[in-house]
This record gives sequence, structure tokens and C-alpha cells, in this order.
Amino acid sequence: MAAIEISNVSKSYALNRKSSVTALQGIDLSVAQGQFVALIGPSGCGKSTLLHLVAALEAVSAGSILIDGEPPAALRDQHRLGIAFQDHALLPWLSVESNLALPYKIAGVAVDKARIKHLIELVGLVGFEHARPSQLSGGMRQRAAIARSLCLDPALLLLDEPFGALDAVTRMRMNIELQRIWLERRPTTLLVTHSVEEAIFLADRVIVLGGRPGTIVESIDVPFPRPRPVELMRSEEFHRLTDYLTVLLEPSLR
Amino acid sequence: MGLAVRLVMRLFEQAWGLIAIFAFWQIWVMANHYNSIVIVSPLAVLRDMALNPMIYLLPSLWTLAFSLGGLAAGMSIGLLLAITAWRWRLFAGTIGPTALLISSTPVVCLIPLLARIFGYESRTEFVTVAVMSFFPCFVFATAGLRALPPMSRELFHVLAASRSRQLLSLALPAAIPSLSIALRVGAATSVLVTMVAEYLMQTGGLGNMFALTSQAFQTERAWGASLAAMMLSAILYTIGGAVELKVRERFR
Amino acid sequence: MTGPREKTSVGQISLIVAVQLALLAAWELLARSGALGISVPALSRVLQVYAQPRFAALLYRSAMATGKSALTGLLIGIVIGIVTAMVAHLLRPLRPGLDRLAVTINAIPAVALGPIFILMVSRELTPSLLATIPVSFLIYIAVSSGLRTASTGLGRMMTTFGAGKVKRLFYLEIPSALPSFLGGVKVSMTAAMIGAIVGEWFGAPTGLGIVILNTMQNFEIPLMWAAVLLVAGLALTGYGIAHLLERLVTRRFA
Ligand SMILES: Nc1ncnc2c1ncn2[C@@H]1O[C@H](COP(=O)(O)OP(=O)(O)OP(=O)(O)O)[C@@H](O)[C@H]1O
Ligand SMILES: [Mg+2]
Repeated sequence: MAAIEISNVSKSYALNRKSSVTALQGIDLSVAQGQFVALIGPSGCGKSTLLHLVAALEAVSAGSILIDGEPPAALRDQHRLGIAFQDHALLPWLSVESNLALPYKIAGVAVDKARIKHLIELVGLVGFEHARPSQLSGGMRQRAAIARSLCLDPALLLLDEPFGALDAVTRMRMNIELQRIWLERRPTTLLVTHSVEEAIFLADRVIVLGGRPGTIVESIDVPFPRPRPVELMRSEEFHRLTDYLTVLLEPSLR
Repeated sequence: MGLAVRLVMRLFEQAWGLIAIFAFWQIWVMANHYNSIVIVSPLAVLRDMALNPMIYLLPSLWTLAFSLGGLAAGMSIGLLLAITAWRWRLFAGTIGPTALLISSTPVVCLIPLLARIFGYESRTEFVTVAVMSFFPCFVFATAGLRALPPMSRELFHVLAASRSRQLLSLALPAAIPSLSIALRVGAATSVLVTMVAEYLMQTGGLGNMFALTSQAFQTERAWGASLAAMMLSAILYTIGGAVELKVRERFR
Repeated sequence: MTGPREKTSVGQISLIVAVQLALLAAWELLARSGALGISVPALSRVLQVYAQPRFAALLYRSAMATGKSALTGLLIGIVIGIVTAMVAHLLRPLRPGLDRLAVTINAIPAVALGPIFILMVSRELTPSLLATIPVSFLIYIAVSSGLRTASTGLGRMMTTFGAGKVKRLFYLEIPSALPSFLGGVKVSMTAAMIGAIVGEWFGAPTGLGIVILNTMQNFEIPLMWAAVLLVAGLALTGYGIAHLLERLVTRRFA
């Protein structure tokens, strides 16, 4: 598994010749091996940006990011990175099954049919193996994208609002499923979400980002032991944490 | 009964424009009492085609073969160049201006030039159609290779896909809808361009038939030849359209 | 996109220019050595044609005639194409018939139409009319598909605000059809030139088409090349103007 070391990272985008926007400023974060970290924060505070930096999709403007002591591109080139985007990014001309086979083909390894079947069962898409993305609902597409991110048994898993398009009930079910899947191999994970409950239920640590430019406002450890049962969400302790983080996100609720 | 009426209605909905044109043409010819050397009625043309199908068949097949052959060659070259330009950006810059010049030259102007270079032979027909179809294919393919589904480029990046894997699994499939448009547009025009080339060089096919028969004042047959070309072109366009529709369903 | 946007550097531009110059030089040298046969004259000999007053006057006169026919055909064709597309859009039942009619008329070989137009109107007008046909077709296709690209979501939004068919046309569908229309104008430029030149072959008094045909028969090879290059230049200019217009408009509406 991988450990992430983010030190003093800033990222700005040029809007045009004169002005630029600073998406992230002075981010310091270190994530231990096998840790599950959730990122929450208001829209536009740079959560996706941070994920893209860790995935080596973009270069930092200042500071450094190391994964297992190496730059992020190294992990990627070993095909040990799994990612699910805010936008599902399934290829529209491939069936669900072929979309899941894609990471194997790209990595140049044999397609693990059994693992694909297992993952399809896990995300509840049995019977839709041969459907194309346009024939699935929004939520089903995102579940397929999550299954794809898990194909290669990634050492580092990056999830950008993977459950954004799901209804509350399915979302809760997916949270429970994701925890189960995650416990199988415990990859180091960064999860971006808008749901405080989801963050607390799933993560070992919750990072609150504030805008703009995006900075880390708070980092709290979630004390609950795993596996966490659904009943946890009804406990006093859970509610206390939820309230605390909600107020941090929206001070007017105080 | 109801079914028959519905069928006729459907047919009329599709073909009212054509029926109107044919009716106008027939009435115009009859009203002006034109000499049949100058202009003939549509019914006379259709009768000639119906009575002598074999005379039309061979030139039609000839024209079809040259237009499809030229189209296939031109589109392959266009696609290959587009892929090369996709792979090496600098190449795109270096061939761009030349390709633009060739493409913007109206292809019929090139026919006399190509005829001078390659001779008054049927291979010139082939070259003409290939030149005509190469550029649209290059343009559509270049655009298609870059019209990727949202975030898919990033996905391939994260999965550390090689350039050739990106081409095979992402860019080429993404370009297929654009290529099918190029095919539909090219298929219809290729017949017409072939016909102009045949007309100018008198090598064979429907264009040659048109030239010979109109010189001999066999006006019905001359018009029959161009009606045959029209049908070929319309059939190819329709097939191309159907392919495009299928492809579009499949690829989005 | 990944990383900073790639830009064409000065070095690359000069390389591109160098390659173009090398191609031209290769043409010149090969033609002079006789390797390209008698039908391909050296570039310098073609350029000399433009410098001879007699030929220059002929080419100028012909270019004006062809340009006028093509432009007339272009303008009439654009009007016909737009009007037909609007009719087909507003009166749905007429659409299948109009579609079929457009395709069929466009499929009539120009060599067959020429004699009819000469009979119906005049030798002088035939080039313009032959240019009109493909332009009307291309514009009809471009505009009617453009009118249909207006997103259904936006259409529903307009309907919810109580917009009728005509309001929707003006506020939503015409603006969404503009890019497609301008793309149509771009390809129409070459089509209009083709129509004008084929039209001239049926006995117009002057025009570049006549020059090309006569020089082909009389073996005046450099003059033929000069005329063809002039046609290409005219078409390219038209294409360039349409392209600039497109850039201007898409910037405004993007
Ligand atoms: N490619 C880009 N070019 C310019 N600015 C960008 C780009 N990507 C992001 N930004 C800017 O960076 C800031 C952060 O964007 P980011 O997508 O990371 O937000 P986010 O926290 O993921 O928001 P959301 O919750 O809405 O997804 C925004 O102000 C955005 O405008
Ligand atoms: Mg985001």
C-alpha cells in the first residue's frame, strides 16, 4: 500500500494573460499507508484539484507531492492507481464488462474475468454486463465506474464524489458496500464527498477544506472501530461529529 | 383499406417534392411541344430505361466500381494522415497548409490537370475520386480523433496507457462517428465526380455514355444515363445515412 | 487537459515554414530536371505567367467572371437553404419530403443539368445556377441539423417559461444553429466554385473554367496551372473569410 506526503502544495490556473485563480494554497497533508481519508468542503474549494494533483493529472505550482517517496507519476506508471471521476468517464461504445476489462488491457496484463464478475456482483450490476453506458441510469453508471477503479487492486484509490448521483437509500447501501470492498484489501484512499455522514462513516480521517483559495481548515480523526455497522449512524457520538463538521462547513448554522 | 391509405400517405409524405418536380417537368415538356432532341419528357426517359436495362447496367457498374474504389483509397489515405498527425503534432503543422490547398481547389478543376499528368485513362478517374475524398476524410478524422468522451483522456492518463493503446482503445473508436459522416458525404459525391471525369475524358461508364449519346442526339438515353447516376448517388447517400445512424446509436 | 496547454513554439513554426519552402523548392528542381514529365511545369514558369500582361489580363477577366457567378450562386443558395430549412423546421409534416427532394436534386449530375439550364435561362446564368444547387443543399443540411442541436433540456426550460414555437426559434434554436450554419458556409465556398466552373464548360463566354479547358486542349501547360492555382487561391480566400466569420461568431456565442 502507499503513503502520501503532501507538503506546502499550491496550485493556480491561468484564466487569461493577466489574471489567474489560485485553487489551492499551502496544503500540508500526510496520509499513512492503508488510511482512508475523506475530503469535504464547499463547492469550488479545490477538492477535485487536489485529487488530480495526486493522480499526476496536473503538476503542482509550488510544493511537492510524494507517494511512497516517489513522484505521483511513478505509481501511475506501475498501473497501481485506481480512480473514479466526478463524471463517470465510461467509454460510451463499450459494454459494462468491456469497460471493466479496459484497465487490464491498458496495463497489458491478462483480463481477470473472475475479478470482473466479482466486482459487477459487488456493485449490483448483475444482468447489465452487456449493457452500454447510455442504457444505464446515472447511478448505475457511477457504480460501474467505481467497479472499474477497483479492477487492478490499486495501491492508491482516488474517488471524486462517486455517489453524487445516487438517491439517499442507494447511497447508504453503497457506503456499506464500499466499506466491505475496502476492508478486503485496505488500499490507501482519498474520497471527495459533499456528505458529512458519508465522510464520517467511511473515513479514518476527515479533512475539511475551506475556500478560496483552498486551504485545510480542520483535520479530525474518526474514532469508530471497523467494521462499522449501519446503526453507528444513529449513535450519539456520530451525531456530535456530524454537527461539528457541518458547522465548520457552514458557520451560519451555529 | 385503412392500411392502404396509410401506406399511400406515408409514400406521399416522403415523395411529394419529387412527384411535384416530375409533374412540372412532364407538363412543361408537353405544354411547350419541345422537340425530343432538345428536351424529353420524364416518361420517355423512364421508358427507355425500362426497355433497355442491359445498356444501362454495364456503365452503371463501371461508374460504381470507380467511385467506390477511389473513395476507399482516398479515405484510407485521409485516415492514415490523420492518425500520423494525431501521433506527431509537428507533422500536422507541416502537412496542414498543403492539404488545405489541395482541398480548397475545386476538384473538377483538377480533372484536366490530372488528365494531363496521368493520361486520358480510367486510372485518372480513380485518382480524381481519391483526391476528392481524401481531404474531407482527413478533416473529419482529425476532428473525431480529438472528440473524446468527457474525462476519458484523464482516465487513460491515470491508467498510464501507452500512445498506441490510447489510439486503439480511445481515439479511433471516438473518431468512428465522424468517419461515418465523411463516408456518407463522400459516397454520394464520388459518383458525381466520377461522372464528370468520365464525361471529360470519355473513358467509360455513365459519364462517357452521357457524352456519346448526347453528341448523337439520343437525348432520352443521355438523360437516362444521368438518371442512373442520380439513383446510384442517392442509393449510396441513403446507405451512408443508414450506416451513420447505426454508428451514432452504437457510439454514444 | 493534462499539464499546461501545449503551444506551437517559434521553433516549430519556423520548422513548418522551412518544410513548406523545401517542398516548393523540390517541385521547382524536379520539374526543371524533367523528372515530373512535360505536364508539370516548374513553379517559376507558372509564376511567370502572372507577370505577362496578356495572360494577366485574361486571367483577371476570367477570375472576375467566375468569382461573380460563384458569389451569386452562393448568396442565392444561402437564402434558399435557410428558407427551406426554416420551413421544414416549423412545418414538421413537410420535412421528410423536403429532405428527400434536397438529396435528389443534389444528386443530379451537373453535366446533365447544364444543358437544361441553358435552355431554360441563358448561357451566362448557367454557372450561377449550377453553383446555387450544391450551396442550397449544403446550407439546408447544415441549418436543419443545427436547428435540431438545441439541447432538449434548454428547450424544456424555454417551454416552462411559456415560450411558443417562434420564440423558441429566435431565442434558442437560431443561436444554437449558427455554428453549424457557418460550417455549412465554409464548405459551400468550394462547392460554389465547382458549380460555377462546371457551368462555364457549357459555353459561358468567359471564366476560369473556359481557360482551363482550352489550355488543356491546346497544351498551354503553364497557363493551365496558373489558372488552376488561381481557382485554388480564390476558393481558399473564400474559405478563409468564412473561417474568420465563424471564429468571430463562435467567440460571441460560446
Ligand atoms: N482547468 C481549470 N482551469 C481553470 N480553473 C480551474 C480548472 N480546474 C479548476 N479550476 C478552478 O479551481 C477551483 C477549484 O476547482 P475544483 O474543481 O477543484 O473544485 P471542487 O472543490 O472539486 O468543487 P465541486 O465540489 O463543485 O466539484 C475553482 O475555482 C475552479 O474554477
Ligand atoms: Mg469537484
